[in-house]
Amino acid sequence: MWTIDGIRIYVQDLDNNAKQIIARLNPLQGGTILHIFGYDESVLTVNAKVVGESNKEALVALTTDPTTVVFSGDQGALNVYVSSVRAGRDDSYWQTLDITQDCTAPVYTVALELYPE
Amino acid sequence: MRQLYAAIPGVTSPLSIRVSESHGAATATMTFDCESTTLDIGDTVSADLGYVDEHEVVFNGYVKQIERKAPDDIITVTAQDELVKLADYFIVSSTPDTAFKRRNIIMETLISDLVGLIGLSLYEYTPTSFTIGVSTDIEINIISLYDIVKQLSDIITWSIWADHNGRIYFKNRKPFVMKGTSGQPGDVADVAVNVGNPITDLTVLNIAYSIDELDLRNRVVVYGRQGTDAEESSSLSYDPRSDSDEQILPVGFYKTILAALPYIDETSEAQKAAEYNLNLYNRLTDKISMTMTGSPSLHARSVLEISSTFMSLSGDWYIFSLDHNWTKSGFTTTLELRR
Repeated sequence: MWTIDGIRIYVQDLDNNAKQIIARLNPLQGGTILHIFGYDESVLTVNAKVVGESNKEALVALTTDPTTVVFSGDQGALNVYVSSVRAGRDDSYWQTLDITQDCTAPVYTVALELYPE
Repeated sequence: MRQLYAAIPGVTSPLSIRVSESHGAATATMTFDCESTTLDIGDTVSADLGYVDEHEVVFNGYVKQIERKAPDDIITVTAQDELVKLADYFIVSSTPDTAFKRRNIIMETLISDLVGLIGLSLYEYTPTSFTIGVSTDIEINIISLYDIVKQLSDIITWSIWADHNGRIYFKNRKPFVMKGTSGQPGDVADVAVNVGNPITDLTVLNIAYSIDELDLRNRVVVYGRQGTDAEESSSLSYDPRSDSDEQILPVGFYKTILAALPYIDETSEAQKAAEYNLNLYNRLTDKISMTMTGSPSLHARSVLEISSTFMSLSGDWYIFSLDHNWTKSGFTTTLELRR
């Protein structure tokens, strides 16, 4: 079971993007000289389903929360900042994903961008 | 591939650092951006930067300004080196009758006395053999300490500066490569800091060369105290390209600079001042402006050997000014060189 700040989400896919900061300097002669400045902490991009209006609103509200929340699932747990949430309502009339929600609760596809602490 | 390194005590993970030094500036300046710092106004600050396998202390000084910016929440700190104390100190005697006075004093002793007003001392100096105020008191009042020290240094075309370790020098340091041939005290032939290992196009990112006569003056007139004056001129001017004196200005045409030096009351000293200033000004200024991959060991007022195939330029060049730029875009050093 995946949750973010205790909100149930049903992960469809999860990307982990990491990046090193490398400056490329090109002298008048010879090849490129590389300077390594440091690295960007990895960014998690999560596509998931979330059920219920209140759960969706709670997720959106995390984008205005300046503190970290716990993102946990079958790969463990880590503290993250919720950078962005994009939610689109699915075309459904009867859901069986989340048994804590009403059968007629709306289903959303959400795209989350998470910055690990 | 080289990993960048920077350490500023009291600062965690600096985001960018810029250190500027110039022969023509009163102080070296360091500006850096960071997320947080424990530094406060007036604190001493130093920077050790470069690469993990080659880094050096490039600056020592005092925090002069702290600025916090939104929305990035970045703190920008500006610091200046030891000589900022001279610029900040304004000489004003408690009463007009108790002003700082000296008479018949050797220049380096006077400079030493002046910087001593704020508890500093000259780390290194060379004798000037130049006496001022021979028969009349030199009275110094209502002027900044840096301004008066600079005015006095300019009389004999010497320089005062603080190095990256905060040590103060007062020496015959001209803004060009010195050859030890002028006959002036303290004129010692420069040796390049990288002799035998010149900077080549392999590390130069961009380069420009120019030559001009904007600062050339082939006639110097010195007005000293009442009745003390001197003049020096030459129809020929030094051309650094040929390393010889040439007819540069039209025959019989003189560009003049006047030095009003009320502290000089001996004609022989006025004559020396005129000769020294003619030696400084009667020359073409040729410059190289270039940016190279960062080199933390370089400092202004030293001499660098270069060999640029691209520009067909080589030999020893004086580092007139220097900027170390350490950012996410890499570590580069921008130089203005003069020959």
